[in-house]
Amino acid sequence: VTLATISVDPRAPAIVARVSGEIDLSNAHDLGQQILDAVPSDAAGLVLDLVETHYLDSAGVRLVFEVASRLRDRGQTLVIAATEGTPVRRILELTEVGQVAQLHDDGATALATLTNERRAGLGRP
Amino acid sequence: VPNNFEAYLLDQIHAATIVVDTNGAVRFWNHYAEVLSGYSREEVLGRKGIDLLVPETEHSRVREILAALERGESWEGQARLRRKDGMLVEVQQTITPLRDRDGRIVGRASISLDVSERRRLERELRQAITTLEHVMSTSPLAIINMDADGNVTMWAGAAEEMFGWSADEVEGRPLPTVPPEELERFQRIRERHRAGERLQGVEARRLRKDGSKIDIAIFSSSLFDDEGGFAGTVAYVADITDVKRAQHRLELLNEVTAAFSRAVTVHDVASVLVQQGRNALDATEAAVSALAAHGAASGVIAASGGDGRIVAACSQVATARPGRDRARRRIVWLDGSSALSEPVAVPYRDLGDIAVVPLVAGQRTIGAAAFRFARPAPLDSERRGFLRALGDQSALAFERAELFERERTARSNAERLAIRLSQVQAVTDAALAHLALDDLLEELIERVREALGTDTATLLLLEEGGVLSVRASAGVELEDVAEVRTAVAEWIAGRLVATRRPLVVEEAASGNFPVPQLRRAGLRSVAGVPLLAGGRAIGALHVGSEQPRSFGREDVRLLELVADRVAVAIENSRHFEHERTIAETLQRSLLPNRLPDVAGVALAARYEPGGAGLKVGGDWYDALELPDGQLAVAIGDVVGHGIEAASAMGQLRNALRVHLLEGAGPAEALRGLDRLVHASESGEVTTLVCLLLDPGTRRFRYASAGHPPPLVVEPSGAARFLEAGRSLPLGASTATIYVEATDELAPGSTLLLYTDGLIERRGHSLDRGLQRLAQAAGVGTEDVEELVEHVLRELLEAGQHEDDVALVAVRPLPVPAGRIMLTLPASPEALRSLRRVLGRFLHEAGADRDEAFDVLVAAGEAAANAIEHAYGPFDARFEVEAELAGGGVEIAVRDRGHWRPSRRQGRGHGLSLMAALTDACEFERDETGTVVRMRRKLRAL
Repeated sequence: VTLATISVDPRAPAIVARVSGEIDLSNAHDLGQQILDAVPSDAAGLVLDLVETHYLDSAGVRLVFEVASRLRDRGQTLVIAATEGTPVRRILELTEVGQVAQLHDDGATALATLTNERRAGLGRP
Repeated sequence: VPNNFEAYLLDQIHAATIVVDTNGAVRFWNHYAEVLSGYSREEVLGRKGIDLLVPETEHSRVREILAALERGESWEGQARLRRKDGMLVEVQQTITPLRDRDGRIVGRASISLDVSERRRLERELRQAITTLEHVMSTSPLAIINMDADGNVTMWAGAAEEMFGWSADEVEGRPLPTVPPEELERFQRIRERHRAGERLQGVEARRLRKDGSKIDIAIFSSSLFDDEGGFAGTVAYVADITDVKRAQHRLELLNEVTAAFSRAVTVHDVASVLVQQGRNALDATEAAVSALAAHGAASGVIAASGGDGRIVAACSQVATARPGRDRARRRIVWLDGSSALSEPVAVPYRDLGDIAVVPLVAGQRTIGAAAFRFARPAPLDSERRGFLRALGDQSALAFERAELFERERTARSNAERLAIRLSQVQAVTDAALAHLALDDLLEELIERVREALGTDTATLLLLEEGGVLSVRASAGVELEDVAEVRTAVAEWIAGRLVATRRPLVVEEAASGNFPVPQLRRAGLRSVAGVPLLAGGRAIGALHVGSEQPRSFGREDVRLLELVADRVAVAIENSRHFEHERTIAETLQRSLLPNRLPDVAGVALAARYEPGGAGLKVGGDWYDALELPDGQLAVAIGDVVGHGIEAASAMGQLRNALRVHLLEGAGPAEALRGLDRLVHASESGEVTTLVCLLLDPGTRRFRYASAGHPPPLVVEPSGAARFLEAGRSLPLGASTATIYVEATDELAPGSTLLLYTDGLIERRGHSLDRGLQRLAQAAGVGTEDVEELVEHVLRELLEAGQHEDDVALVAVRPLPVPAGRIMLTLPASPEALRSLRRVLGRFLHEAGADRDEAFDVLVAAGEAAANAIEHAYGPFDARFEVEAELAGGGVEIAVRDRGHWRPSRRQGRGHGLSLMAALTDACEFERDETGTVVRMRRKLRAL
């Protein structure tokens, strides 16, 4: 039984991976692999949309840190969408995920942030 | 004393004349006295006569005579005198006293006539008569003389014994022995007698005194008097009854034999035997009993005369003689007066003599015939011979009749089979719709055996690898021979398949294949044909008989005809089985192997295939747990049967899963499926109910596409059908708008989803079906498995449902208040179950969403630790205990491992989360394992 599904929106200006369901020890590793696979090396970064994620524990937190680490190694940026006040957001805050990725309320804001950052980045000499 | 003249006269007579005086001295002695006595006159005159002539033995008698004479009486009588030479002479004597003129007795005169010669003649005559009488009395012939008037003058010899009348009763009267029907002939014989004709063995029938009749032969001659007149007849009569009877029996035997040869049936033979046999033997009663093929008495098949009391004797002897010894042909003679010998130890004493004749044909005792004789009738060699001949003839006739009967039966069976073949055809065709191949073959093979009247019938098919195996058989299962018969069946089939030609063994008496095998199998004749399909031998069909019988061309043609039908049936059935197997496999594969193991929910489901044939249905169900913890249950019915329905159902099931996993609600999922049905080639119309249940809250959403309404059964037994959320079936219309409804289960309630096969019953309304379902489901059962079994049992009378039936029961399990205890496998998948159960526990305890989440994460982290440190690869388990206490919840997670909290990369998040999300968190470690204890306050408590 699948706990969570990932959908990737190819039309978006940046890569958006949306995880719906639950993330725990049983699926975190696979999910992480799938997410990383969805991000091409030339992409500026990734929006990890956890708005539809109903459960997330330390295995999920580890996943986020790993993805962030891999992206950083490739010079890419991770932005996370998780609604303020939800338990999942609270877990992310408790584990200080904010140190490796910006946290936003929804996917659109997160995407905009990433796009702006990229534009800003392009404008840099 | 006589004067000279008187003396002269007295000398002339042939009688001794003697005169004596009162002193007894002789005074006169005539010439004949000299001749008689041997004494001359001169020698005796003056001497005492008594002294001279009377022997001493006669003296006392002489004194009596003299006394009588002195009284003046005469004496006359027989006397014996002694002659001079000492010889004794018998005489007839007259002695008279002589008186003077005064009347005084002066002497006596005796006159003696010599009677010796006469006496001798008399004695000789008497001797002759005695001899004659002896001869006559011991004569086997009757000697019957009659006078000219026809009155019996002599009735001698064996006459009395022969006819029963004594001489006294007959002599002086006309013959009493001539029966009325012989009178005319008797008169003619008398005329021949008068004409002086001698009869030499003329045969006639005569009456006995007891009324019975005997056969005689007459030897006679006529008597004539001096004048030449007819004086009567002298006849010697011989009893030729036995001779005539023997002759008669020979004729009868010939007749019986002729009758036997005309007898067609066993019963014909039996009735010839009892009727003609009884007549021929002059028996009072007759009976025949036959043995069945295996030696058991099959009872008396014919009887004649009497009251049937010999029937038992007959059966006994018949069954007592199954041996192979010569004795079994022996005639059993039950002497009415003497003790009975084996083997019949039954008191038949009062019945008279009984002869029991075993009927033996070849080596086989086929029965026995019994004849009872009320009159004593000793078993002489003639009778014994006759009995044996009768027995042998009838045994042959019986065997012939049996053969004839079998053939006739076979022929009439063949005629019947011609009719039956159409039935076989019908059965074959009908069977295609609902008989499995094996049932069909068994049915056909039994019919073949019946039709041909054989003892065995066997059908063998070539299996993969060229092995022939018995697929259907009749009559080979007999104990003792089953193994041999099966082996022989395979052998014969092998030959048939190899040669692809019919095989007929008429009489397995001697020879090579397959005679020795057949004989061991107790079979005498077989006929078989190969089963050909498309010119290929796919098996063989053969029949066998325990008795020798011939199989004609008709029989073989018949077998071939049946074989053709069988081959077609097998090919069709194989095709049918193939398709059915595919459809069934398809359907089975499309139904869930097993229901998902959803924590806190009891699930049970059944699928019952339809009655028979290719009606593999389109009924299906599915149950799956969605990522958000909801349980999705669906049940549907694709219209139609067979592979297409099954595959359509498979598509729908998969599509439904996709929709639900993508988060679609029931109505939305139905919309998606409707589009799919319209887009698909077959476009099967389908009814479907889809239901999403949150086991924690027991709330559910559902939508029905024209499907029978789900049933909710409460613990009280109260039942209600879910009538809301209804739309048209899938594929019914492109404009259908699917709606859904929301409902909630009371604690302990059960949801029942089913297909229409469960409630539809021929002749009953749908309402009645729903009513029966509500009633059946209303019984309170602890276990949902029991509930579905009960419902199926109540609603589907065995084998009555034609349509297939699917049934799913869903019951959220009540959460024990206050405390739960879980034992879970040490695998990551267990975490989800832990969250479901613990989530419901917390929900019931009144925890809000955030509190519940915190506790679930904390417990999950502890559990993840236990799983990661599982002590062994097999059967590792850990325990979770949750208890409401002190205004919050206490959680304990125990395992058997030895680990320390670690601050390694990643793992540290777990520990910090546990600490952050609970009010207290501590680790305990001892030799049995590690325990993590956590406490968290809940606002609602």
